[in-house]
Amino acid sequence: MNGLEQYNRFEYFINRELSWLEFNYRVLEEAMDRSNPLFERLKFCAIFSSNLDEFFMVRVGGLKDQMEAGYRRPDASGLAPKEQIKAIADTAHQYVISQYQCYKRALIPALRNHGIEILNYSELAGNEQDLVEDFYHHKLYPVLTPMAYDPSHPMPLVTNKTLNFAVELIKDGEDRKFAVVQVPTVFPRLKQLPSRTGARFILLEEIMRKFLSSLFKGYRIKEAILFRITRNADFELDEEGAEDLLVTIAQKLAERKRGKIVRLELEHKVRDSWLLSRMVQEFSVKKYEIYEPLNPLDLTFLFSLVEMKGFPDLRYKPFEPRPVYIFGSDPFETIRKQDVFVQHPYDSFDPIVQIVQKAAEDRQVLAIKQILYRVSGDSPIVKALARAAENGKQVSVLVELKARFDEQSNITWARTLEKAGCHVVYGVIGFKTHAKVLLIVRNEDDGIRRYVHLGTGNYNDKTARLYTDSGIFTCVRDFGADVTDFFNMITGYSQPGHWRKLVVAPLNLRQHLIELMQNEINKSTPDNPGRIIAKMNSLVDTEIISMLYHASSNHVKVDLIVRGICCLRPGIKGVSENIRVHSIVGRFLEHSRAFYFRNGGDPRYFLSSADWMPRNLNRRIELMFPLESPESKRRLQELLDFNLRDTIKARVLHPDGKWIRIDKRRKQLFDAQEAFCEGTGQEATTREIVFQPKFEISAREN
Amino acid sequence: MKKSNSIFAVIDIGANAIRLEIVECHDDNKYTTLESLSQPIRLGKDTFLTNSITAESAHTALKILRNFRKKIREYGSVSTRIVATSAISDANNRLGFIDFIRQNCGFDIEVLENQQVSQLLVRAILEDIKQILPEPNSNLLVVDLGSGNVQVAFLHDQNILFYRTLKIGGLRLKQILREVEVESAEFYKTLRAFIHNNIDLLKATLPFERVDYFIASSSLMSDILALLATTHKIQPPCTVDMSLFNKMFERFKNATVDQIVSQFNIPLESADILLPTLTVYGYFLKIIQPRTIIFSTASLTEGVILNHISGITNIKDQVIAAAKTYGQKYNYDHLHAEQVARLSESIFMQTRKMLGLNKQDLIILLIAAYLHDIGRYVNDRDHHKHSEYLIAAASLPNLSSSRLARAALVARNHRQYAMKFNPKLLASLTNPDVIKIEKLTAILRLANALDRSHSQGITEVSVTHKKAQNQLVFKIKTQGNVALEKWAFNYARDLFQKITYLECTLVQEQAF
Repeated sequence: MNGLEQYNRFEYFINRELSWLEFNYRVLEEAMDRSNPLFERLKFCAIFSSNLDEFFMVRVGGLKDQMEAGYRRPDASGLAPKEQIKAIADTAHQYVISQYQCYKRALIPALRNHGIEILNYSELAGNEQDLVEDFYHHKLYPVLTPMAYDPSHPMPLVTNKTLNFAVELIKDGEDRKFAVVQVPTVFPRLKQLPSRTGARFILLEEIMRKFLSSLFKGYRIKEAILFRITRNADFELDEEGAEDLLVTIAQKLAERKRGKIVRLELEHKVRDSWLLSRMVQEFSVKKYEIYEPLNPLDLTFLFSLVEMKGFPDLRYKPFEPRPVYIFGSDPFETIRKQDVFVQHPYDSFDPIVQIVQKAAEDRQVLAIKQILYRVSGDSPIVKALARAAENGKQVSVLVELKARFDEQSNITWARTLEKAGCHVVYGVIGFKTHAKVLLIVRNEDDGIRRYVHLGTGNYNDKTARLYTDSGIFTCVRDFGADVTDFFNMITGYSQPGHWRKLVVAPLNLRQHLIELMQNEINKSTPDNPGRIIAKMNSLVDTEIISMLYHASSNHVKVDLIVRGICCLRPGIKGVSENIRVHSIVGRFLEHSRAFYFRNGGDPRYFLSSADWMPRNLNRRIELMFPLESPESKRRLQELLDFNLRDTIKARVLHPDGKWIRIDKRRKQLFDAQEAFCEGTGQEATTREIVFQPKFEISAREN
Repeated sequence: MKKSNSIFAVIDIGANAIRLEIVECHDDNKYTTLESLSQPIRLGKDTFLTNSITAESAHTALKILRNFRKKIREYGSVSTRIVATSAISDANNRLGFIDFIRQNCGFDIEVLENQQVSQLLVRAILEDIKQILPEPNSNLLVVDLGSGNVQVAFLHDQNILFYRTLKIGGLRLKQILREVEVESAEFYKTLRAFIHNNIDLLKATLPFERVDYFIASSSLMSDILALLATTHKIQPPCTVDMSLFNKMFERFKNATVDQIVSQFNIPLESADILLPTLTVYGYFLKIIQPRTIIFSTASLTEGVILNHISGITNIKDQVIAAAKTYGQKYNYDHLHAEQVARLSESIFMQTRKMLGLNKQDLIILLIAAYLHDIGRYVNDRDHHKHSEYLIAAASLPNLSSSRLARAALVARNHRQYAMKFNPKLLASLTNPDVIKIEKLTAILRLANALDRSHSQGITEVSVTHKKAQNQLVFKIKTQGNVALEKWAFNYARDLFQKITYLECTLVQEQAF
């Protein structure tokens, strides 16, 4: 880090875990935001919970491992693992309390206003109670398995993220017993009751609670506590020794069930309880790892609530992605004429599916190659690839098995592809393949032509309706040649070559980014400052952040649009006063990584699969690629411009690490995602994006 | 020759890596690279250390070649050429290796001779640097540093006049000097001495002082350029100032392999053979002292592709240019040699159909014609015998060793004795080969007789077949006294008459 050492100061960096918690709070703010439709608020509330689950399983789990291994080295912000865990707990407790306040004080009353109720057993009408009792005895009871725990029985394995009752049992003449009953996952947690108007629900655990004593005949239940544990699921793969990655991943999935416990959630505040002391002892949890009172536990069930039919007024207005009108009936012809820029979900994802489907049937197509990271359960792309192989095309698919928490589904359809005759490669040893690229090789009348799609998002037709991602279709020769080399490299056919267009992590992406920033510095003067606009999900890498500080110190104006973690601290005098950080959390999950470098008036535009995090730049196979056609550049400039103009969903990061909504006074109200949905994105945007350096203070809502 | 927009694949089994290029050939003799793959495998390490390829390496090579076969099949039915160089040609068990690959992968490996390697490399390099070469007709010294061999070629007017193959490639040197600790100061000293010794031997034969431009190529060129590029990227082909090279070399020569990898960001598989490679360049540059070096990344595979696309267009000119240069080395009578060659070609062209000879045979004849007398450098007595071994030992571009041996045999028999064959060579020849050599010898004897006086008195010879008389009439135009030629013709015609069953007669027509 030549010359960047001056930025190696703890106070210049925000801790990544605390920054992530801030991001999740921004998600929660969407649940709190009354301007959002009610069901969407419920969804945000559920997302907050599921995000937090993953955070505890992976991040807190990893930190706990570090702490237990005696690792004390502080992170860039100066916090050692133990301090981070403590700080996380402080913030997480506070935010979870906010979540439940929102749930109980805002969301439940609002649901009730629309005739939607989540009830306790005692709140049910007589006939409803009969129905529930019948359900319990005939369906639920047969699948329940109470497990007693005493000195002669080992503590039963409590599965990660399941709901369980801890029960204290008493019988005359016997020592008290500790038993665990899991709330079964084979039934939907939310049981809907027949209702002529509105919708009435009862949670499965409420039914169980009512009839819990039926499971322990001859015993008296002194106390029953509903709880939920979260286990460490952050595993490392020893791929060097892994003969078969498929088998290794399957083994690791089994191990995940037994990871150390990092969080215990209780539905009620419990004090002086024998049960709790047993749980604390058996689960080895510290006081700060206990979260209570959370009633009901695990709000992810709200996902299923909003899946119920009807209530259109409680949802976002239906949105249909625009067809990519220039694609026509022959995508190959279109791409031959010009590069095609696509921006999902505003542009339909269909062209990507269609081009693979067409390639599968096209007699001129020789080969199809694609990287699949996370695909949907019933993916039309997987089907088309299998069809292509059956039609005699050479189909090579790199399946990244290591896509976290998607491993099981990846294994399943990878085997489907293999059976169809595709050449399936299971990732690259030591690296997670995160690049999103498709190559179609076609033997045309005038020779071989290679069609390429490069993007920022996974080839997943379902998430493409929810995530904002961008990409290009091109058949420009250098892109085709580079992508061919790229596939040869990642499939182990060849060593890395020399890239014409692509920038590849972990080979040269970091260096290239630094060179681009240095170029801005070189061309920047106080009168004619350099300009960087970078949109990504997370900004963590200390070298890149230091380089941004260096750029800021050299008059370069920097706008960052970071959805999630941002360890950069803006507004530090002499260090980052020329850096402004925005974040948009809205209807769609901001996911595209897009970059603009002013380059002395001859701007350079890039898209990438990589965030600016050490894992992306060092341990993943990622791509960054330039946009070269005027139309693609225009579209990307527009994308960045709209994001920076947002005054509705955008927040700005302040020097103290807090994210504050934009002060709307004297500003045009502008919702970037809304504007794209309405198609205003079709308007030409060619002006240079203006940098607004001042931090605008407004009170945090709620 | 290629078809329009056809796909062609070439695999190069080198000492340090196996490479695959798949290209699409176009009508304008140009091509587009579709795939360019390289997998490191040190077959040369086996060969240069133990003279044979180990089973482990053979299996690794097979795995790579099978992958490459899969890659080639992505393009359907593709014309493919698989060439191998020193790592295979120098291995005792090369035939077994070639068979192992053929049986398990279906690939027929063609082991290239040094002259082929040299010709292919030079072709690719000339194509690569044509835009930046200041004077195309100048004298060029091309030095290609491979892992096994170093190919040195001296070119004039884009024709190879000399070439030499030195067994001092980077990997081979590393193996040869393996007993000297690589990262010791002793290693560099020993390496330098070894290299100097090898290159010094060239001084006697290569006109280093006439070199106008020094052209460097190597499979490690991209790494070398990365070392040179301290301030900015250098894109090959390019010219680089000598001082820059020297500065880099000074910085580099005392670095350990680990330092090369970490400080210079060079892959490990290149790092340990870079020092020998650069030392070879360093010594060549010391001898030649060019102001600039032209760097090319052209490779053997590109030469093979270019040959596939347009064939070898000027093979005859190249061979003749090289033969003349070789003749000069032995103080040959170049006027006589050129006259004999001219008359030989004339007789050949007029009788080739009758004799069933082709263009390839003409090249053998011309080599023999140009060089038939070079044995006089050793001794006038039995000079034809000296000519034979001198020709056989020559390194001429585009001419395989077997064809060179045939040319030597033709030259050996240019005098009026009964045909004599080297028994070893004879054993390798088929009957039609033997007869072809006799036919070429018969032409050479006539042509040589027609300049018996070494005075180039005959300006033209025309041959007429009088079928009714079973006669072949050689009508000559002359300038000056050709009495000796007439006399010599009568002795020289025996072999021709024996082969054709025709009576050969000489008729003189005055030129003036």
